[in-house]
Amino acid sequence: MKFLLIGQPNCGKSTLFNQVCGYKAETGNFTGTTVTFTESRVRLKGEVVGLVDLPGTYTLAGSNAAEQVVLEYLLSHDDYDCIIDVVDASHLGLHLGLTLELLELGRPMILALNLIDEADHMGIQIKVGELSEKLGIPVLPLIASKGRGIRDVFFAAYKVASEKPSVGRQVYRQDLEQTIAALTPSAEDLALPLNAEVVAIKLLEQDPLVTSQVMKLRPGLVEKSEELAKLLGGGSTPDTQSLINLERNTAAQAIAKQVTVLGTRKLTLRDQLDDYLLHPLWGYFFLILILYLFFQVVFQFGGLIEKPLLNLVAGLEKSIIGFINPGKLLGEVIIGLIQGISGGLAIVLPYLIPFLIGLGFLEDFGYLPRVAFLMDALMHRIGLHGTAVVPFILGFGCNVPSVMATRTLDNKNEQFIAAALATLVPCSARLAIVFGLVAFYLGPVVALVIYLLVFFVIAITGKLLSRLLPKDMPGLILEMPPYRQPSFQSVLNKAWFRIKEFLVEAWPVLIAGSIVLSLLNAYNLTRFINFLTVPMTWLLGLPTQSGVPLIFGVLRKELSLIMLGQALGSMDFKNVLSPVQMITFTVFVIFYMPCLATLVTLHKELGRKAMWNIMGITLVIATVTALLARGVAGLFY
Amino acid sequence: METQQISLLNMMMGATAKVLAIKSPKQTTDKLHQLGIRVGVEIQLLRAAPMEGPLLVKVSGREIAIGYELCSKILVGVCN
Repeated sequence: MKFLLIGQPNCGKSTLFNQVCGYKAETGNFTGTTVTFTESRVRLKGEVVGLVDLPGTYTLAGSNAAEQVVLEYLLSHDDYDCIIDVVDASHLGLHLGLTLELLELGRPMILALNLIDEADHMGIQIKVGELSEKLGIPVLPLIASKGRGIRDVFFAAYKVASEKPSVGRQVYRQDLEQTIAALTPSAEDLALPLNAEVVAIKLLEQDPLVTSQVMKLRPGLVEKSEELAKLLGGGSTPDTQSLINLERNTAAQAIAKQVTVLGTRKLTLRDQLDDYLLHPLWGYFFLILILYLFFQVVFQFGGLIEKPLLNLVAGLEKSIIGFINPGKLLGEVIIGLIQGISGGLAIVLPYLIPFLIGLGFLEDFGYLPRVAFLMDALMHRIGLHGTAVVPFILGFGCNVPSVMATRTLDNKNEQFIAAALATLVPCSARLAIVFGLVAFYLGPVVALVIYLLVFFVIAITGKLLSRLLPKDMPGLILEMPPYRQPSFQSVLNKAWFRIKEFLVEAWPVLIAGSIVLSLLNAYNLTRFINFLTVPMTWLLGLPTQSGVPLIFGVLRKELSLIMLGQALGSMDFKNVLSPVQMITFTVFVIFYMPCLATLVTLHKELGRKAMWNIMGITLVIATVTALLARGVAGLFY
Repeated sequence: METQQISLLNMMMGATAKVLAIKSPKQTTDKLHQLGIRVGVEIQLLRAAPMEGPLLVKVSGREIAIGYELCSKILVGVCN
């Protein structure tokens, strides 16, 4: 037996899925957190039932890739036994539009009326029995976040799936019904998992997915549907998709109105909070304050566990080296292995975990769309939308999750620009260099200047890239969800879900690179690499020995500082580097090439070509800005 | 009573008006439709972000942020 979970964004569908299946779907109080579908198995009345969580979509004719997944799924699968349509009870009229569209499928279906607690807060009472009568399917109230009503929903789905009662759709206006009836007979017996009537409706809607499939099977049918669509609009080519959607939505609003009793609205926290958090002036003040506190907590916490962790790893390394002969090949491999593992630990444990937990709270609370709202105007100036601000915030912790977050942007070019810019955001590893070298030896003011330079460079790069990659910017359209109380369990699970991606995708590459580095060291190949990088180090006025640290800084950026110390033979940098060299080195390291873990993620999210392009772009930016920094710093020192 | 056609940008903060026309490209209009913003519905202007930032509007109980540029393409009717 197999159930499908379908619903509009922000209806709590993934929350329901996670309550039942443990943590497998990414939820967030932000449109489009589920991008592909997730499947899991649950035990129900002694039977194993497959449960598929499909991305949130407003209609089946999705406007972005994530939304199209639903129709694609319905077009390629016939083995499901029940649709669980999840709707937000506090916005019933809007959510029922999709419900009516799903009813057209004629498949066994139930309605899960989620967020009834929120509806109650808004003074909305829903007559569940009447709604069920009007739709002709069982309706089950649900509070997924608190786990209430979940059993009933699944038992009802089980019952419907076993009994398979017939499901009928809403009757639309006369001319539309006549057109559907005229087209349906010729859509019979197509090799598609949809019934003839749905195929007819989708063809009339000129749905690109269904049309292309039918084109392959029965091209004449597409022609006929185009003719009928023309008739429907009185001769011209009408926008039948909007027309049919309007029919559904009008019907949905009417049903919602009939089954809803409006009481007095309890004054919501939302209005009061938004008065501050979205205020034209105070909004920005709170934005800075919240982000400042957020980073403070993350770095304080990270600093607290980083030292003992590094000591532990160093001790471990020493005792293992005592056992093996470091000169031998195997010894070097083991040393590289340990350094690679500890590298991952030092990035993930101290900073990434608290960062992702903190971010999960902000996300589930509903703050991120507010940040997008406040930052849209600024982001526009660098060729992006307010929604792209999320990858930027993430970037300060680690570029890996920030590149992952760009997948929620609809436009390919916009995703590329956002990812390229996100890799320029100084992550916590690069922060360590700015603090350890520049702030420590030259003072915090210089560090601040470097940070300002970073923002300036990001802005300029964004402007240039958006000129080079023309795209129509449709403008921000973003639902502003109500504030919701984050559940600790869901936040923890989400952090783990994202960390797991890092562990599986990027960590192994990091360990392999680390082994290569220690082998190079063992066979004295570093001199050769330094020789190869002479043009670069000469151009930037850096010591020749900085070649290896720069090349292998790609593994872990904060490592390049330690390696530089080793290469120059002193950790007290004021004896071996001039202030100008310190500044040039830092600026170059900030911008040149994303680290290996980020490159792997770029490859996965945007493809090989985009990864190479971003590598090239960052290398050019790094060289230009480092030269500039060298020149300007020369005036002061 | 005379109805005047203005863009969302010229609406008064907190005011409610009826959507008369949406002049954005089809794909964008579809997205607006999905969120319940279509010709004929009542739309309330709640907030605006500074520096030509987005506007926050309310349509049948749902709050939606719409970019500044796009707002100029949504025409509403207000009574004078």
